[in-house]
Amino acid sequence: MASIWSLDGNDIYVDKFAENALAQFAELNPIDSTDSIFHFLFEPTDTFQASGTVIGESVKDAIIATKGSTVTLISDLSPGGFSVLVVDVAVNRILVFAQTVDTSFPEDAPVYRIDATLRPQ
Amino acid sequence: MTVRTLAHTIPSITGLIRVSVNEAYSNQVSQAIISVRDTTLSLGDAITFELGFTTGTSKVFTGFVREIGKDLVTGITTIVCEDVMSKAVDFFIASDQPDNPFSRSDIKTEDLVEDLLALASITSFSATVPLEVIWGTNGSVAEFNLVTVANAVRQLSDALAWTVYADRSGTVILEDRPPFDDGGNSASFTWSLATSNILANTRSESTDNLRNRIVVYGVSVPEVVTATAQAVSPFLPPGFFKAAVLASPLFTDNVLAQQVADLNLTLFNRLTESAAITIEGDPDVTPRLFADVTVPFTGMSGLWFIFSVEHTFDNSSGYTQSITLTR
Repeated sequence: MASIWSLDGNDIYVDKFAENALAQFAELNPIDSTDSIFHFLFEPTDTFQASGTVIGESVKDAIIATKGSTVTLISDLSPGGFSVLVVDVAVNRILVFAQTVDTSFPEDAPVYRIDATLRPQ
Repeated sequence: MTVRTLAHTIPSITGLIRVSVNEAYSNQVSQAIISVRDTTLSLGDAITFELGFTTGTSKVFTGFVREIGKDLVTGITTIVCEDVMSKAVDFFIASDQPDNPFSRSDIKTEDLVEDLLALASITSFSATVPLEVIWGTNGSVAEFNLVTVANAVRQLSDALAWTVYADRSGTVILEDRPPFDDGGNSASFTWSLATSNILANTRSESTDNLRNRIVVYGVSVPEVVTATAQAVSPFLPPGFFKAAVLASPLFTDNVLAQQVADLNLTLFNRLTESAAITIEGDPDVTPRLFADVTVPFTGMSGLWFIFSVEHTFDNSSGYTQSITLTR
């Protein structure tokens, strides 16, 4: 079941969330060796991938407008919200006969699938 | 599996991206190029730093900031640093009166070099030389004008096949250190495929730099000073000689000229064997030391002179060193 999250005040019915935490290493492979040597280089900021459904063109446009900005993401686990940098927003329109997810919009409001790449600040 | 974490002591910077340090036997000046996000260093600031891993670091550079560049697109600040010998490169000897240049007579090589370096405010100096060679004899003088201190010092060291460089603590060293094992040297490092972290290795040998006849021309007044030294080379056709000429008004007597010829014949009458080797970074590896290297495929074995070391310490490839070896 989707959870209603808010990105900069715009509702997203999130059904998929992924968090990627990475440690960056250089891998050295000496000649004739049977084991790699790893040089720890750095830990980049984690990457979040949030995917969900958005109702209405105005909400979709408002979410696209957040790209490159640091905004507040409110999720079910962080009702107080936290800051994220919006790195990438990918939008696909879903063609439906009628939407009843958000009753503040008419049934014939457009429905979108949004995949957002976020970096917590 | 081995995991090491890079460590450094570069001061007054934030967001280190890359460091490269170039040290070479043939270069009078060592250079460090540091790429960072930001720095509070200014031109002329003294800088000394260590590289290595969290398990241990060693000093690899002491010098001065010579250039700072900023790139808007990448957001990278590049700091170029050079060691104390850059002062000798920058100091141009120009006497107030053309007929009264810097001059010395009846002076030992090490004292003359020390006096020249002092012109460039280089006072930390040490000499380890096997011969007492006197300049400005027979009533003549060793004169230097309209030349940099670095070039003046190099004229002296090249004549005697010696070398002048700044060590990693900023002391300028004058020493007799040919780029090969002339006996009595021992290995500071042992590298082999079995025990070391060798990432790449190539080897070559050629006669390009071989010279088996050295001709020296000195002053012509009051007498013509000249000397020749030559020897048969097993690497050249029988009776064939490749000549090199050293000419300088600093050679004021035939004894000195013959010393210069003999020393340079020893330096140049030999096959140039060189090898390139890339290893996992070891900050203790320094030019002018020796390594015992064993790589059967490239035919490397025994003692090799560490001719140059390039440290690469960055956020994509870790800490590695590209080393040139000779013998």
